[in-house]
Amino acid sequence: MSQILSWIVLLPALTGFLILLLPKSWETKSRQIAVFASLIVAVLAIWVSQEFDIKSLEPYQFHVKFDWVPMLGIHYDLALDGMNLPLVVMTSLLTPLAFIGTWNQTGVTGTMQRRIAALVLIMETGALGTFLAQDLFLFYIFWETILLPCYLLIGIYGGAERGKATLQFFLYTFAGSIMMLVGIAWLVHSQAQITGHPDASIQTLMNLKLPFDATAGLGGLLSTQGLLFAAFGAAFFIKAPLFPFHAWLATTYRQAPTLVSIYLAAILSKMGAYGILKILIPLFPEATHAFGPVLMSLAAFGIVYGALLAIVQSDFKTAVAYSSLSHVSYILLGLFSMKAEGMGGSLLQMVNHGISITGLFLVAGFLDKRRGSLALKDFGGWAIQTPVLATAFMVIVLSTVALPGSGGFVGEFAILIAAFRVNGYITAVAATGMVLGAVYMLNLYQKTMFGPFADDYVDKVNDLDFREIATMVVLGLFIVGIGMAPQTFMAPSRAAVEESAKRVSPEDALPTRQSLPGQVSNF
Amino acid sequence: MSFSNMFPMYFIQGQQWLGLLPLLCMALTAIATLLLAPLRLQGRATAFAMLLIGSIAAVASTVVFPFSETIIILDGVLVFDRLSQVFSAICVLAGLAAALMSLGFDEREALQTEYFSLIAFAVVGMMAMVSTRNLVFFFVSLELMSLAVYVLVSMHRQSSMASEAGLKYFLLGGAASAVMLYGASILYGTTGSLDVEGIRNAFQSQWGGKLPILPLIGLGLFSVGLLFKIGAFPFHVWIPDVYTGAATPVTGFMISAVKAAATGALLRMSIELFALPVAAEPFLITVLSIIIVATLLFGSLVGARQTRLKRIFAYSTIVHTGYVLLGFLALLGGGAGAKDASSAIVSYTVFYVVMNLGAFAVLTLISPKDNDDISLDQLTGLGTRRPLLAFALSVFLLSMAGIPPTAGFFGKYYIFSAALASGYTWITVVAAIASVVSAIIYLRPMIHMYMKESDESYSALPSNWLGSNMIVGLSLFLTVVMGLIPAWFSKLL
Repeated sequence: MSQILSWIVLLPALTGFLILLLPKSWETKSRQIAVFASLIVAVLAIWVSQEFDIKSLEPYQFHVKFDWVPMLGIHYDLALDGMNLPLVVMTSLLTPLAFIGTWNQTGVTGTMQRRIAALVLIMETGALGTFLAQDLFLFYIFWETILLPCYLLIGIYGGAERGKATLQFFLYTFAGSIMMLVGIAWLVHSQAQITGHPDASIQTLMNLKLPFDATAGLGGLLSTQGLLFAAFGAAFFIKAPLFPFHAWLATTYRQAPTLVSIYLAAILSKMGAYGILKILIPLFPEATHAFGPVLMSLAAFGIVYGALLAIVQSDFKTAVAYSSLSHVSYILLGLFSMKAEGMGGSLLQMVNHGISITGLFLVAGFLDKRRGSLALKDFGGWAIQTPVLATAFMVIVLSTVALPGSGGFVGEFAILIAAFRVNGYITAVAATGMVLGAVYMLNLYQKTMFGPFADDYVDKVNDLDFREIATMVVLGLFIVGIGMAPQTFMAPSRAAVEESAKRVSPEDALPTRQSLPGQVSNF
Repeated sequence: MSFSNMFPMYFIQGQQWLGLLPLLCMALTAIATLLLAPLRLQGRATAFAMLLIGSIAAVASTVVFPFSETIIILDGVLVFDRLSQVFSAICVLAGLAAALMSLGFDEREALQTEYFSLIAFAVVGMMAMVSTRNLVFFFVSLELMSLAVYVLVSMHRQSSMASEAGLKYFLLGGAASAVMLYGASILYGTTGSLDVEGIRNAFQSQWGGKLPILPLIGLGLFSVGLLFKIGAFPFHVWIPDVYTGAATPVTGFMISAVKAAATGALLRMSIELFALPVAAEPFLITVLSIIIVATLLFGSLVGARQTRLKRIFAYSTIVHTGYVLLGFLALLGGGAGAKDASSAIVSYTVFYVVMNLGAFAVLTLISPKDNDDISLDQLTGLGTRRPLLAFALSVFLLSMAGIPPTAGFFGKYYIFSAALASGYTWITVVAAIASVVSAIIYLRPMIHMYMKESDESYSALPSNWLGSNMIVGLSLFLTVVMGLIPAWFSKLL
């Protein structure tokens, strides 16, 4: 039982390899096996989240740690630290839901079922491992594990322009992560010079005082800490993505099969945001402070830019892709505010966005499967023929536009408050995104569900089947649940987030939090 | 220094035989295999069996009779230590793997027994090359290896390009050897010694580490021969043509064993000759840095545009030369990374040899009988035609691209971390950028294997030779295991 986190992380990939080795006659059972395995993982994840002791002083729980490559100070090191708990639960729950919700789209041939099931499970291992890793190098390994299955899935089962999409996706993300690898090697080396033996655990590296010199050129980017910030930032900003590192996003999301779009938008983008929260800010606090205004401006610009692009799209899935860019930018805005409530809001928003974007891409999948097209001009008036689909879509829309009562409202509100405490002008720009968000979501809803029929095609449309309804009901329950009682979802992460915020900006302690006497600034 | 001083009478005794044993095994194998044809004992199977026994005996003798201290024979003409053992074993095993591949690949070519003898001779040359401190003996070993490989390249008689490739390799290789010999003569002229230790002592006693121009030129010219063999930037031009012209197993032999031997020799020279006091010589460091950047950028940019598989691997090997040289830069730069750099280079070489042998074994299995210069289009649909083979090739390609958790990733990380520790940040960043560009080289075959519609015209399977399949399986196993448990393989040196 002490290895429970290892089971959570490795079970999906092991099942994935098992599925690859199944005999031909079992091929059509791949999806069932995948759903079963991912449900076990979900149950385990929920169990550890219940067992997680909020009041405990031990920051790392269910800790598994042993040496992996001693020469380079690399450990196999997994732990729940509160910050990653909501994301682990989200990932483990969304995976079976995504499988079930896209059931009818992944099943053309047995080979296709087998490959998709296996590769998605390997991606789940990569995501869960990234969230749980407490060793920087292990973090990188799991981070890269995602890349290849994703590349293959889009390349084999993607849309017509998949060749261009995959190459773009692979080169962008690989360029980012190879810079992170160089950064890791550098960090571990600096650490080894001080203590004499290398150690790649994040906790140890956090105590490194890396020199930051604001006069070093490009506002300090050329000092040691600035360069490392850039190296890690490259990986995280591309994956999230932060404007202007988003060029790969629309093509890739558009060309990917629904299941992979869900994974990209709901889970992979959170890996980027989590990297900022877990690694970038704690390891390079001075650099993040120095570039904070620039980064917040980029995030605010990304909110508006993504929303405007989403409004003018004529393709459903591309519009959803840009809406994702806009919403992820909110998360980044909250993180770069470096305030406890902003970072906490961002963490909550990561979960909210994960759920609502899953819903949106599922709806895109439903529409595509029924109509064979995603061009908005081909839709209209579906609310009459498919009332269940229309209702489910409405719930997702309301959650996405952050209606009070949905989880999105709590998260975005906290982010905007935190951002306002840092810079009112940037926040004013960012807040317009909420209005624009309502515009493009309602626009999408109207053009598909209301209005005249695009042609007589609508006569043949079926409503959601049992599996699809079940998926949407579960998503809806989560949306309402988080909206009604966000604290029950966020309580485990509160201590960890506040601890992190205290480290990076000790001078603005929250009034709700007790400042420790004798605490000194580390600047 | 008279001739008798240079090569005095000498009796080999006791433990020295232990060190000599692997070399003797291979030399005997080479000669015995050569005798098969004159004795009218024709038969490739016999020749291969002899090579197999000789190789196993050579590798086994290093395992069965391990020795801890360095064994020096003839005042350093032969030196047996950990480094020579590791690189000898790599070369022997790579030669054996290439021979095994040829056995199934060249059945229609009616290979002569001499083919296996030539492989054995080349391996003897390699083993001697990585185990010597004497510049003349080094040159002779290098030529022994090179002459055997020149013939192996030209032996691919069904290809019209083979003789051209062989001639090109011979002429350029000969020129490089001449330059190298000239460098050695300058070193001898300025220091009065042909022995690496003698030269280093002379450097120290005469100039106290700050070298004047003439011995620097000598060192530079001497390095040219080795840089030629490993294919560093200005000396890389022969690689694509020669690799394409040679038969696929011979290309596999060159890309693995010849590269490993040259790397091993360069490592010995770097540790013993170029090491302090020359280490901090800024001129040599600058030249090496320029060579590294040019090699990396040239290999990855040109490689990304190739459409024939052997050329793709040729440019891939140029890129890998850039990474290995980055390790040498860390070693010679004398920073904090120097002590890790040599073990990084050894690990990298082992990983590199394994994945390239695996990839070439796959190539021998998918090449049609009439023309083994296959193009990317011929890979189309391999993912559905031969899923296991396609999977194996993908793993090798990913390992070359340095994607975790494969062996190649750790090899690259060792090199990067040594270079950063020695303070070469910007060159490491260039190497990182090159590895992004070179990812295209490795992705394109995968795109053809998995993402394009299968072309029926290539569906006939050329070969299913068990030997090549075994190499694929073993390399695949090693690539994955070395990626998952790299610690087992990082203490080789």
